[in-house]
Amino acid sequence: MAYIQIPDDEKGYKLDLFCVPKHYEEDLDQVIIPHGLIMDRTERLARDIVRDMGGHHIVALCVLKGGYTFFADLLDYIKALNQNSDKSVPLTVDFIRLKSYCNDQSTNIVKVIGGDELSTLTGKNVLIVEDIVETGRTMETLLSLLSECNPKMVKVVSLLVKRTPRSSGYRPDYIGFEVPDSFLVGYALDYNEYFRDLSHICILNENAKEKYKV
Amino acid sequence: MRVNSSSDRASECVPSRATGMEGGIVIKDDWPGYSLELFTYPEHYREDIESVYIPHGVIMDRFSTSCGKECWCVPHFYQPGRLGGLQEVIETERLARHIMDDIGDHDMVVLCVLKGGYKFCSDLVEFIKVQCRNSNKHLETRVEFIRLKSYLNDQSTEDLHIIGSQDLSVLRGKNVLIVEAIVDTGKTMKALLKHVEAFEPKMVKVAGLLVKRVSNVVGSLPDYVGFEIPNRFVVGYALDYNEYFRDLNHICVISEIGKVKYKI
Repeated sequence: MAYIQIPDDEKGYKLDLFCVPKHYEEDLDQVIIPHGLIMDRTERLARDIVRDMGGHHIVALCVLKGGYTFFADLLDYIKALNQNSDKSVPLTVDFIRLKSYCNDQSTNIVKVIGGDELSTLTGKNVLIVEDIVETGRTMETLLSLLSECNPKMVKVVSLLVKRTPRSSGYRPDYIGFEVPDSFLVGYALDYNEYFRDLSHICILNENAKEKYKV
Repeated sequence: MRVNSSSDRASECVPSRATGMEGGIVIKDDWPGYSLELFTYPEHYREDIESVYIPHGVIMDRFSTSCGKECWCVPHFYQPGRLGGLQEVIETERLARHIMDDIGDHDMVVLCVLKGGYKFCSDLVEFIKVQCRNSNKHLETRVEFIRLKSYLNDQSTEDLHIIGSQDLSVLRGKNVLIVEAIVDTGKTMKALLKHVEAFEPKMVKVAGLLVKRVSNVVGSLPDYVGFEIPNRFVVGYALDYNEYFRDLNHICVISEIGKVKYKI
């Protein structure tokens, strides 16, 4: 599946070419993905998803908390497709939180908190919606958990995938952008609850990492 | 677009639950909603909805704000009868500004009541962010989620069921804005407020997109109200009937066929 690749040496755009909250001007190096581009890419992801999964009831599973901004926007595009064509696919939603930790045997464990009974996924087309995939291990563990309830199909859409040596090699089915292993904030990505009010995805500079540290 | 006639005015001199502007846009009991053929909606709901009660664009305009700044757009204002059923209140910026004036001085936690609240919360947080951007203010806003179950089919049940994590210690000392899609008798909201207050927030306010005009009111009115509506079962804009209709953009009235088709 195609995606937009943001190279490691991406210069991005200077802050003064876009609207960025004044209080963040000292904290950001550059805008690497403008909000409009995120929206346009998301619109296309919605179309691809409906093309592949639209034959049968879709359960859109939002991974909180990071995933909810992208989730809301993606679903808006899917709904727009649904209400503007002759045929449409029923769509229900659910929200889960993942708690990921390693046990004493260093096995990756993922605990799913919240959400309906996983049995509601049986026979359905499940779409997991995530904001960013880094190592991929959490997602792999979640997928094997879900496969136990026998959904008809499971696909993962992630707005961002990081290019990192720590990656397990896992790739989501739908990817918005592949990004460098830098410290990114804005849109769905916060840093200690800051930057939620930034609509573009930007690179955080070193000073800011200290400034907003917990 | 429908032409104004006096019978279209849904909201003149009607006894309302609210006093003052904060009561929201009042929709009269006999407002039939708009005919389906005037809007787009998912084909799979064709037989299941009766009318479009509150179009999505109107919901957005209820929140959208002028922020009082020159650079931002003028709010979409409604003249009497321009959209047939709505009261001519609309200083829509008031909703945004009221919230920011009341609780924007301190770190805020938005507590989103899932699942019905997710659209309202997402859109509300977006315009709060816009407010902050335009006033160059930094407001630390966190969003937390809580899941409640209190409806079976179209009836409100007795119990408040909190699903998932009950630990809300992140609220301690913060200004909390509870964001709920719909308030009916107020019983659920009252129980939720009690639960939240146990975690000692600095201040708690409630924003309800819809408030129903019912006789058996238990709690008090939310602090911020989008629309006051008659006691009808509405779906759409994340409000469901047994999980269906969350994928419908507009707030609609469910049809009898729909009620039976998706019944548990």
